Amino acid sequence: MSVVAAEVSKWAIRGVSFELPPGSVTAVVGANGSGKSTLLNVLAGHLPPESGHTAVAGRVAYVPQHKPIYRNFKVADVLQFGRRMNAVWHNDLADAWLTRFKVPRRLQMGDLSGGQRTHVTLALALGARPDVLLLDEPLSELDPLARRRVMSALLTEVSDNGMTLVFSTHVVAEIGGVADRLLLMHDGRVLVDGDTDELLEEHVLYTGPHASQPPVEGPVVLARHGQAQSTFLVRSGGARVDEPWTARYVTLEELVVAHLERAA
Amino acid sequence: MNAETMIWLTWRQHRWAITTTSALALFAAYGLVSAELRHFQVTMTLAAFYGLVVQLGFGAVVGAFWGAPLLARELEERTYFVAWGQDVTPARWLRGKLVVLGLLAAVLAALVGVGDGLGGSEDRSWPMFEANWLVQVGYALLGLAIGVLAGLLTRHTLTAMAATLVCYTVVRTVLAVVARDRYLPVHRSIARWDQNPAVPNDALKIGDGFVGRDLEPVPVPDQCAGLVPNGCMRRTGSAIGTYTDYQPADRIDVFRWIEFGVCAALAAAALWLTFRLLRNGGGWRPSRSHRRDVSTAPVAPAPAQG
Repeated sequence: MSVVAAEVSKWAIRGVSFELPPGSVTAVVGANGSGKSTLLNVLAGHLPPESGHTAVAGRVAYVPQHKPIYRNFKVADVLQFGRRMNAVWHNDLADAWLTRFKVPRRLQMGDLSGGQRTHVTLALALGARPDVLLLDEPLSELDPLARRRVMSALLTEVSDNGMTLVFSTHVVAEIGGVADRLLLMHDGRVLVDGDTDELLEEHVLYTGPHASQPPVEGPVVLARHGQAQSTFLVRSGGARVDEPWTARYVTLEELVVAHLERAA
Repeated sequence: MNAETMIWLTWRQHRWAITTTSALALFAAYGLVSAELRHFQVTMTLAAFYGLVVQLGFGAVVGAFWGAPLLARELEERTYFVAWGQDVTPARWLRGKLVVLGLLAAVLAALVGVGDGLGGSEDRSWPMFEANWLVQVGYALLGLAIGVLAGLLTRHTLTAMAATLVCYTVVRTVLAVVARDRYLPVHRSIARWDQNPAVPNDALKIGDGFVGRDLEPVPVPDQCAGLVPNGCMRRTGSAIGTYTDYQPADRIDVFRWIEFGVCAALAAAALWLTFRLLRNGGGWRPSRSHRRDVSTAPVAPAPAQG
């Protein structure tokens, strides 16, 4: 396993355990204050857990939510910083990233826009060729177009270099087709942890006449009752139903929202 | 990480502080030495006077502008994620910066301490005790260490600078007022009534009074209080003479070494505490103990199924 957390507790997070395989792309999703940043800080080694332990295979790069970088550095200084401070440094990779996203070379970091600063911090993290890349809200300051381009570029890095990517977000629409693992957090605990494809196959939304029980076996994630009909989101493993019930798969967004609603 | 890296990084991050402080130190050293070489014996040039002011506060400048921001700015602006998020460990990062800044501060302090601004006067005299390269190096290292520790404790640059100035001033004052006179046991000169205690002109007088028959100091009794004590003490037979305690001038080099040693020891203690806190301290301490080095780890056999 590339990243392991065992019963980790720290501040808001309580007893969080999971294992992430090498080369996986994991989205840590949760509401504000659910402990995503704390979890990433613990994994990155910037916070010691109060109890439990974490293990990370190899070199880690971490880009925190506030995208820190020295304000009086220029791009060239950042590249030199990365080269000098890391055992492994791929300058072309970092440089190409900055060129690709058109980060101005002459300005100091303090004069860059939030999105440009994000690109610099990502370039610094990627240039070090980490085995595990932890990103806290990496896309929060990017425009919608840049979000897609950054995400696909990150995925290319993951598949090219076998990097393990863990990123947090509270925008569920960002993770569709990107993350192959979902770590859904609520109130410091892990609600859902699994392969996104499997999760999507397991969860089925059943709609039918008013009923107190769903037509299939399995844990009910969410039940809604209207005047004449009821809907159940059930972790049924894809069980089929007969008339008058209808069944359909849900999107990742619906799945996440349903789980969060139930927990709230 | 190598020396070149730490020099580059230290220069890149602290170049304004280094430049201005160095200019200040060089001007002060020039003012003091040039005045001394031109043999101004009674009046002091204004440049030399400002040089003495710089000499008095150089350790504080180093502490407040080099030491205090070193950790405080990283913590305050939360760039320690960048500084300590690379392959160089935080302890090595701090050690490297301290070596670069410490050496530079020592060289500049030694320059500042070369002159005393007055030509002709003996450099090895008590009033010029602090106008000495070794003493100044000790003060600069002390200031730097206090600043770094204050930065780690306060996590706020301006607070750390203020705390550094206060702590540094307190330490210097305590050293000068209380400790320095007593680094070695005093010489005591005793004289009978018709003479004065023989004290060399260049000695540092520590105290004086009356001695009894056993040649030990005796207090002035109540009956002599308020009167001219000499005549009273002699008339009543309370004392057989007077004494003066002093530190002879030939001890000054030893005292300067002791002063340097005290400052260096205090600095070392502050830095030891800083590293200890950095490793084991607050809730944000960086740690890499949980990282496995995959490049050297043996390939683990596939776990058995089931």
